[in-house]
Amino acid sequence: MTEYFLSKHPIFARTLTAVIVAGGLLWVAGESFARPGFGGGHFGGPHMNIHPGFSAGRGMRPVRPARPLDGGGHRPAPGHRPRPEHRPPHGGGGDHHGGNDHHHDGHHHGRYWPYPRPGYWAGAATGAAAAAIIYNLPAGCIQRVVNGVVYQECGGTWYRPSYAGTQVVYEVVPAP
Amino acid sequence: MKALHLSCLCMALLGPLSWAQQDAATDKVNTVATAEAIQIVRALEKHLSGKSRLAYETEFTSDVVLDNGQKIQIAGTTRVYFKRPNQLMVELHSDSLSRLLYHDGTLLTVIAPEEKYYGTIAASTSSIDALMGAAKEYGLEIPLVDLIAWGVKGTDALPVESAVYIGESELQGEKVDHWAFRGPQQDWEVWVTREEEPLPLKISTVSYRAFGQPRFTATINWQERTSITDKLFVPDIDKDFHKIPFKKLNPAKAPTAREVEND
Repeated sequence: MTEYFLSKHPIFARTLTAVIVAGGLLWVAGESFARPGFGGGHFGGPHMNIHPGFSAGRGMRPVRPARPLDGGGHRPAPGHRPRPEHRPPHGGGGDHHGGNDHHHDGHHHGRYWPYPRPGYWAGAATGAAAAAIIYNLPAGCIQRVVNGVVYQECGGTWYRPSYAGTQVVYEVVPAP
Repeated sequence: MKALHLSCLCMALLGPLSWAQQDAATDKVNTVATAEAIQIVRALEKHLSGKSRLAYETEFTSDVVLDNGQKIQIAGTTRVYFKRPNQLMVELHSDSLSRLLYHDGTLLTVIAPEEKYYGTIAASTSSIDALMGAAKEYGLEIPLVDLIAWGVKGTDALPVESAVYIGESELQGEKVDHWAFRGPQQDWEVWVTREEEPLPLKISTVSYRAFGQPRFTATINWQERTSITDKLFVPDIDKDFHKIPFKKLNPAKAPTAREVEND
């Protein structure tokens, strides 16, 4: 009946097709708008203040992903494809204690706190070198203080800690 | 068959018309709600900004969106002590990190007690300007510390584009009104006491532009009778704590709202 109706009313059929196509496009646009995207290696999070001046800069709100998730611009319907697994950052989620460090033991929550990707910080490397900033130290680090500057030495690699927003991050530096 | 075609066409034509009427009616209700809500928000701002000191505790939960899109929730607490204009102390403890923040009128100090690090930012300003500067320049955001700035002259008013009254509920044994707002960067909700000088007892945000549309929710426990001594605002840094720098946000990399919209 539908086919008969549409064949008898070509204008209606064309309009209907146009509406469906436009609706589809709008949905895709809406999906990509709703998910401005994000790059790998950081966690997204909400504004934690209402007043606009207290939010940690728009840099906290990541934009386009460095590579599309799932190979596409929108989330596949549930059950269509296996969903990507999350790999806890750097050694199982935050047990970054070791060596003669002074950190207290016993928290296993990792650094699950919203943080921006390294590229949002001035002077930070991006792309392949972005791994030069880490959020959790590997095991077996020794704290060293050289000329009043604190470092963590982990198996021959030297890291300098700093605050990136509320987070403490560790950046690879040449041995002082 | 012809009658069927006609009724189909009529429905197709009249459907949107009746939706439009409904939309107009809803718009009118929303406009009224928004006007009333803005009055309440302004009353909140006036009440809080009129206080020379603020003390409150919060219990919050925040979504964290993992790199595979999975959403998890972390919880935490804050304690905020503030004497206008430039004495502030915040204790933040969460599942994933603890921080102590002090502003004494000249320096903003952030202590990481577990890592045994601290950092300072020069800030011979009001505590509000110190925190707004630190957010803008260093990406430092402390949950729900903005209550100290609500309604303060020279700062932005709270962003309300539209409002919906959700209903009445009860928090901490008090009747509260639950309002939901839309703003340019986030949707937010507030649960407000019905006193002449209202207080927010709960706040929630949804950052709808961010990936995964994460939510932050906090209940607020006002500590109006807590004594606040000047000693509270002096950071107590152990000898074995080491000073670390703050990374600056890269303004070239931080996208503007417009870029996000056009993305």
